[in-house]
Amino acid sequence: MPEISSASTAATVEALSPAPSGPQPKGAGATKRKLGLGGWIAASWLILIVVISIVAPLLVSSPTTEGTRSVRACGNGSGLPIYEPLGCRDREAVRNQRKDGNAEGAVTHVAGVDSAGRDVFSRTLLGTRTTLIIGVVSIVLATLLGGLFGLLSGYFRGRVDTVVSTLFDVMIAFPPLILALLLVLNFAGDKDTRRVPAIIIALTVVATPILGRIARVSTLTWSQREFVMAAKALGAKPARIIFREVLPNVAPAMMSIAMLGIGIAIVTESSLALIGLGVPDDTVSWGSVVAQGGADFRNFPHLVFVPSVPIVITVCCLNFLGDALRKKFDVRESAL
Amino acid sequence: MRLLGRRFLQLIVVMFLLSIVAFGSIRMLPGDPAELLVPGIDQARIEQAREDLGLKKPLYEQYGKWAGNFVTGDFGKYYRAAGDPTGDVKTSLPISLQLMLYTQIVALVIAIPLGVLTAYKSDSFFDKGANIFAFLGLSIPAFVVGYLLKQVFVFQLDWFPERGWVPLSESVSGHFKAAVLPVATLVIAQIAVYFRLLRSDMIGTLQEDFITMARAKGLKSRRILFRHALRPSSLTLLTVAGLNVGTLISSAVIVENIYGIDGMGLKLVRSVLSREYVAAQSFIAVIGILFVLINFLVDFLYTVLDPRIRHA
Repeated sequence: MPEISSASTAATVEALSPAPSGPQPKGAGATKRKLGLGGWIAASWLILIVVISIVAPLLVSSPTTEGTRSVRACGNGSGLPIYEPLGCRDREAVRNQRKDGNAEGAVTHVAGVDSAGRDVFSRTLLGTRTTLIIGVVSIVLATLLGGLFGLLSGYFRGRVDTVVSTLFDVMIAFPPLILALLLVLNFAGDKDTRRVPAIIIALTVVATPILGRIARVSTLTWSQREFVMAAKALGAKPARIIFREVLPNVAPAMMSIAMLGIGIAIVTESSLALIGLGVPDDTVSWGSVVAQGGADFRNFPHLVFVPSVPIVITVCCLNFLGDALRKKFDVRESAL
Repeated sequence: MRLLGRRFLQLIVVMFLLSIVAFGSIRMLPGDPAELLVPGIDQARIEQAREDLGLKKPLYEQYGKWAGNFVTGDFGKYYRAAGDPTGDVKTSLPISLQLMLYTQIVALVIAIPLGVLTAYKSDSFFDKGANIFAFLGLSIPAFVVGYLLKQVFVFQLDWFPERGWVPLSESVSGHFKAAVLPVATLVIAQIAVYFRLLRSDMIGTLQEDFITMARAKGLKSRRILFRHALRPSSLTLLTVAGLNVGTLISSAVIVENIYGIDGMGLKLVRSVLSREYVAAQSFIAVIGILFVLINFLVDFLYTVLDPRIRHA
């Protein structure tokens, strides 16, 4: 029998895509505190989408919910909407504008409109908010929950550890998308209004064992250190040791994994939308825009690819920063 | 042999727990098949439908009936949909198994040499390129890769069929043609995971004394890498390849969706969404048992790879 701990670390490593941990280049010591060009780009993108998620409703000028005008705007006279990106200009509105100077409705749909006549670019902008809320809230909750359980089982070991790690093992064994699907149905049922909280809960449950394992493994090693022994010898209570001595050392590892976790949550939300369990129709997320476009993919592939672009860039940025954070903290650990 | 017996007992217990989870997780879903079966809100008729479907019997009795049938290979009936779950498993399970088998084989065949060589020449130009590829492979979601490949190779180049699956017995070339894009979609992330793992393990192994010894003996690099260093470095890879089946099933649902393949993942999602209790329970149990069996097999492969475990 291989030892359980090696198996579970491996699973965690797998789930979270290990950072390439080659030998550190010689100059690493000097640059390790700096973010680097890639880091700055990644951080700027994340700040940008946070800003967009706040101001998106102000940026959106064309109709996004009811699309009659846009459909007509892009119509070619045969009554069928044209979904072409660029060059889809509301001819009638332009004519009106020339006639009486009224610019209303003269909108160019940079990314075209979907089958319901809604501007895809605007919807993607609007979807930022829901996507970020779902991704960030679920991972923050999972970090808190997983961190708590991981710290407790890693610090006290024994029976607590057996129960908690068995639970994590069982949860991780379940295919994540299937687990999320069952949970969303369980919490939301057929009520659309409860979909978003249900998705958040489902993603929290899926991510908790991953983050919990990281916290546990990290706690196991840190609680063997001399300063923890010293605190024990001085008579500190377990709660104090866990939160004052162990937690500050475990936190960086968890932060870097949480970064990757947000990316995984965003992708899982989109996957749920693709199988028909995304946010309800009156809410927009990146995933729901992709799912909406999936039906017309054959003729209008941009309906899928336009909303996919921010998903890919965001996940790349989160992974990049997560990897960088992890490398940085690995270096610190080995230097001690 | 005693170890084998103990592991087998463990396996039985795990499978029993699994069947309980499959049963429980489906029964907790809100809404039941009777409500979906009977149009309108006629309570009396809904009650009657519940009675007919056997939903009013105690849960343990329902569980017993389902589990008893399941063991004999009878996976129950659909309430509404045509066909039967047993036949569906017979057609869908081979598809999913083939999809996963091809993905794992292709992923390992590409990732192992890649991981070994980049560990040997770490920080080279080749190593950096491979790492960038792995980073992208992990960051781009399966559905984006799937749609992208479909757009390029189906709609633009017209090299592969748009959707569907061809059984191997029907047409060998058709079978592999239908499998190329789904497998390619799934394999990208797998290669990235395996490559990164193997690379970091190999870098560790290459610093061991027995490698220095092998070098001192004047062995060729290729022999050292693939004969001496690969075996001790491959244990984590093997564990992960087994555990990864869960993640692979999730990605497979999306890929099956995009390429219109009638695999287990899509079958399960559909049955859950339409509250086909018995069928959904059976599908979850089949997938779960598959996962457990694969990981059981992986534990045995350990003993082949690592003699220390065999003799312990």
